[in-house]
Amino acid sequence: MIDARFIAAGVFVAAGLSACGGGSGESPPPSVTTHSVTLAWQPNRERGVNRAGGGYEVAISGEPTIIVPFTAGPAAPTSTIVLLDSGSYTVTVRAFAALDPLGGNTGSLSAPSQPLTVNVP
Amino acid sequence: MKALLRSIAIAALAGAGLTLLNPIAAVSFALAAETAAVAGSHVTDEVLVKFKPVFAAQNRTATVAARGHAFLANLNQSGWVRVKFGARQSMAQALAAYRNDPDVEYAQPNYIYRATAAPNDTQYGQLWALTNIGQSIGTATYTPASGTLGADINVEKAWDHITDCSSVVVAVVDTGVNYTQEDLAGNMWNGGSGFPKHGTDFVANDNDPMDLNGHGTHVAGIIGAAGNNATGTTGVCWKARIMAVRVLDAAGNGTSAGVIQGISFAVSQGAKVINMSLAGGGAFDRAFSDAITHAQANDVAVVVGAGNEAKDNDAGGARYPCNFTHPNLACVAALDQNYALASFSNWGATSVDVGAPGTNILSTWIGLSASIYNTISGTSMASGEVAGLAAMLRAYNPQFTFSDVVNAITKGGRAAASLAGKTVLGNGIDVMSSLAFINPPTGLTATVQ
Repeated sequence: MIDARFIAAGVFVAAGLSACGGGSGESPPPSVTTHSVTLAWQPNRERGVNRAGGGYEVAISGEPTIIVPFTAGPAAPTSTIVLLDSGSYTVTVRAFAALDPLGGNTGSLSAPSQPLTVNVP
Repeated sequence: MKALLRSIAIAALAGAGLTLLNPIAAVSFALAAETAAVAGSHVTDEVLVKFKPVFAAQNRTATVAARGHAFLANLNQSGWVRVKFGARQSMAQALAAYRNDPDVEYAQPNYIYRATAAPNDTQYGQLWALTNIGQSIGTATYTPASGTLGADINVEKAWDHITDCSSVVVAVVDTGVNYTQEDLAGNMWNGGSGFPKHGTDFVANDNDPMDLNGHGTHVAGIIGAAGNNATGTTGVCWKARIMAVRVLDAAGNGTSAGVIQGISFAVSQGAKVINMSLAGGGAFDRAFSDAITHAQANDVAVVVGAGNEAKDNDAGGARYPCNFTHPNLACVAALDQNYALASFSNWGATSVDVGAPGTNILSTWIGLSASIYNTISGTSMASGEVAGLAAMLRAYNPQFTFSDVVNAITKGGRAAASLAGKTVLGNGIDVMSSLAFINPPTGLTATVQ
């Protein structure tokens, strides 16, 4: 479990990956820094996206897909905060809704948004 | 299965390098997705629970009661019972409670099923564009007069979700509208004391847009003839607000001046969809173009026919308004009862956006009787189908812009072989698919802290 204090501070050094020296003569592994990254996008206007069964899914290269579902209120959330290690990532967002093109409830998914490159220092 | 998916989601999110700050959101998604997927289609306070075979049947009632739920019935399948969980719990909570019970094999919502309802309009069976069962059209004027099962705009499934488009004003800029016709009278725009006859007339320059030709009335009925009223035909929308804007005379002729005034009127009076089933010569009409730009600036979608000269609109024979390139304009080719391109229909791989039924179309008409209908063909009729869809999309998605509407119509359509290379995407309209179409999100940003 990630310590909320580190998250709140915005920077998290992953345990076990920070330099620790040692007497083996090997170079210490580079430290990996994790940053809090806020991803945000414009709200979709389809009714189905902004009601039960709708929402967004966020794809980040090399990482698990994040689901941002509608929960309550007038619209589905349009942002999410993730922790990413140093590196370059390609991010896209797709919107989804419960209604499918055949009139059932198996769901529909939009095409991906324009990809965004995110460089985490 | 859903529980498995949930576990996968949690495990995946706990993977290296990335963590949701609120991982509970991922947990709730699986349940939310399931309950949401059936929102509006299940009994809100009931679940069906299947107990494991080894769990004694006589203990089921007590198990249910221990959760504060009511045991309603044993179903006639081994282990299944119907349970009422009441208002203090959500569907997701109730399902989770049973799914975590080791004596339970499965739990699900109590889904609601309905017969897919076709409207009861007396001549509905002749409306092949709405439901094509290969029927022969008795009053056909175009050959073929019978067609192919399923070669239609797939609107019946959409009617399970919306039939009332009356929140959207659709302006029919045409020869006027017979606003006393029995299937239109109740679906006309209310123009108040200023326009008591549901529109205006830029031919006679008065406020009576009564149709003296029939064309505009026919298009109006395709868009929004009253549906399921046990009378005549139905439009794409069962309930509508049709604004009659007369710019073409009894012979079906008009001018740039009249059309421009008509568009301006429609926009100023709140129309959000304009149908213009008309076409002119090959000269670029700047004034007409400016009028459509004005509509665009006011978030109005404009639907037009491709023309009926069996020509390629891209090959040196531009037809306006079809060949205007405004993003709020959709140009429509006509399909026959087999979804072949109608023999008279113009086409254009860059100028024509989509196809729709346009042959042997039965709709409302003009005459002394209020019960007159007529069967005619043309890209005008195809345009009417699309304008009806545009109104439905805006009614279903009140926040839609013209851009959303045009995208859903064109990209939400389904491929028609006859339109490949003849329209922008080779699609005929599909109402249900357009209703389910979702635009890709925009404006993605990232802030690294």
